[in-house]
Amino acid sequence: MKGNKLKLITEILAILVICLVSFLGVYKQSANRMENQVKNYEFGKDLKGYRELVFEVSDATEVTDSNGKVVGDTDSYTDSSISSYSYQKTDKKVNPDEELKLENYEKAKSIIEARLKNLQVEDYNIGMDKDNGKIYLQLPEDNTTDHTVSNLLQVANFAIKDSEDNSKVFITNEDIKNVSAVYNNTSAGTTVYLQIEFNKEGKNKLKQISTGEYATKKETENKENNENTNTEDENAVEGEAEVSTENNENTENEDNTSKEDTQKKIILSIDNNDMITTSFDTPIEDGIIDLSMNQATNDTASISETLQSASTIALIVNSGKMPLTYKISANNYINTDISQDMIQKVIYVVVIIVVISLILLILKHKSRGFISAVAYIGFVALYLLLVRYTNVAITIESIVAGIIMLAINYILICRLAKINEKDEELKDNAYLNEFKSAILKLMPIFIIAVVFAFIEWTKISTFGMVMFWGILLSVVYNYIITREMLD
Amino acid sequence: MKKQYLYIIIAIVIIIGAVICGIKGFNIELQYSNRQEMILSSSTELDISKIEEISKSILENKEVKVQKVERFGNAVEIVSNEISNEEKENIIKKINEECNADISNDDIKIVDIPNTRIRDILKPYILPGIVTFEAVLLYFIIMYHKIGLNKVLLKGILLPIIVEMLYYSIIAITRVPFGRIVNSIAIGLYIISVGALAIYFQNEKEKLPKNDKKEND
Repeated sequence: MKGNKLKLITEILAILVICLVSFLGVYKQSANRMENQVKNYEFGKDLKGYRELVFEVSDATEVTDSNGKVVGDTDSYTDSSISSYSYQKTDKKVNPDEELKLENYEKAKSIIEARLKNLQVEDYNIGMDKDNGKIYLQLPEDNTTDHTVSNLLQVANFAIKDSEDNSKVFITNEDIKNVSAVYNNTSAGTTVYLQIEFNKEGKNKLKQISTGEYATKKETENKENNENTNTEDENAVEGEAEVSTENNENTENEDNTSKEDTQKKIILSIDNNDMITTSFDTPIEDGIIDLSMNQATNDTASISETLQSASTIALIVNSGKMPLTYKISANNYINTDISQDMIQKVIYVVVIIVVISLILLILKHKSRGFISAVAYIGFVALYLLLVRYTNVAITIESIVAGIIMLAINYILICRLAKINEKDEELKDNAYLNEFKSAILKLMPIFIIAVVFAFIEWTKISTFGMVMFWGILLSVVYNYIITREMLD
Repeated sequence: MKKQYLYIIIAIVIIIGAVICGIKGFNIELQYSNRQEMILSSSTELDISKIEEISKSILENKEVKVQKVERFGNAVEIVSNEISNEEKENIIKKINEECNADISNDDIKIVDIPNTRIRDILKPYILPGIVTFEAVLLYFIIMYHKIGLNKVLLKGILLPIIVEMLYYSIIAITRVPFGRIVNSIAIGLYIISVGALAIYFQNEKEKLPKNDKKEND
């Protein structure tokens, strides 16, 4: 009997320690101030703050270089930079008036949503003005937000065109099946490729241009073959397309024969940025072009950076070409409108309800009720620590899930407190039956929690995760701790 | 008999809610509705609660929200259903007077913000809702078919749907703003209705005679 009491007191003291750690924290002096060593809660967009962006349909006009080639628009060049580069402003709008229609606004919005999904943004709020196509977007603020924002409005205009006559466009976004980032390891290092796979129509067009006048003429071919022998890449899948613009320029500079001048070449460009200028050594029949994005290297940081950049290009092109050019007219970090005061009020209400419920439990079951109440407080403390250390973000949804879990655990301890058998075997059986019944009753909620936890939408996944850890902890904690204390 | 009255009341509430929703729609939270906003910044720190008070006094009978912009405390965003130029000028004038700020009226633009469609708000919840609904229904059928397949199917399908319909009807009738908190509670109610069903079915199963129970196990 004495041993049992000592055990109980030890258990209560252990719970007290957990409560102190969870509710008050563990403080250690750091520099001139005391710092809590217990991990902080992570808050979601609604409780912390968000990036607010307003996108407007651009009214800019095209800017061309001295050769008449479009180099950008008046949104990206100021008057002074236009004159310093000797560029010229034109009257041609980047968004022709006939393109300013609801269909295009809707398409632009759905492409932005597809890009957000591909960029793994798991919580956003998007709205669109049907009259002028203005788009409002709220994004969670983290270290990827700027990267996300910079990639949302890219037009992703893919084109394979004649290097001399830019009006001759052979292949466009409509001919692409898929773009992906791949890499290849050789003895020289890792090369990252942007693999462009064309659809049936694109494949035919590519075959035609690679066998027609853009096929490498024999003299040039021999020369390039010789060069290739020197820097042989055995694993190149589509070696004929893996010629960088720079290499070509060097080749052209070195070779001043008239034959070289007559060699027709294509330019592969994305949003007027030339990715490659080349001719075709052999016909491309499988409809796949691999563009090398770097020189073979063993530097993992550089490989990872190139791979990320190739992946970003791939996801932008895969999400489709924006029908209109947009510009960012507002980009601000906005703090949440849900104040600390409001959250505190909710916490006070929950605490009051919990305290009243625990008092009722004590009044009903006396000493067993008191022990159950202490165990319940220990559960709450452990649960809050678990939520912190499993990196579950606190959102409005996860707060709701937490409140439901508090109710579920209360029902469970009430039922455990009710068991008052004197006979050990009967008591064990009663506990076993209670836990079996509880698990069966909680199973559907557990199924929902697991499914929700895997959904890539913060509000739903945090709800799922809080429920998941709550159910798991409730069953395990009550089976091991509460039962032991009640014994 | 009591149950019948309850069903009738629930049906009436759902019908009224549907009618109101059809005619007036939900009272959408400012965060998701068509609105206007302006960002005010000053060289000195701004007192948000004071600005909120001033904004609410000038933008009378309108929903108003004041939020801190960026991290330095010298910029705020005032959001309301509609802000006229005159109201803007009055707000700035009063803030400058009462908060010792130096906000210039000319630099402040009123920006129109488009609404978020309800279907866009609810879209992320549809797939997980359907998947979990089907999974739970399957679980109920496997575990509790002995207490009557029709009963399990009928209650398993109808209860969560009716609970959600009733909840959103009440939201439509009472004109509680439809938004973040309302939707979070809706997920909670879905969990509670599934939990209630599980408790009900399990209790029913435990009432079955031992032989039936063994077969079911």
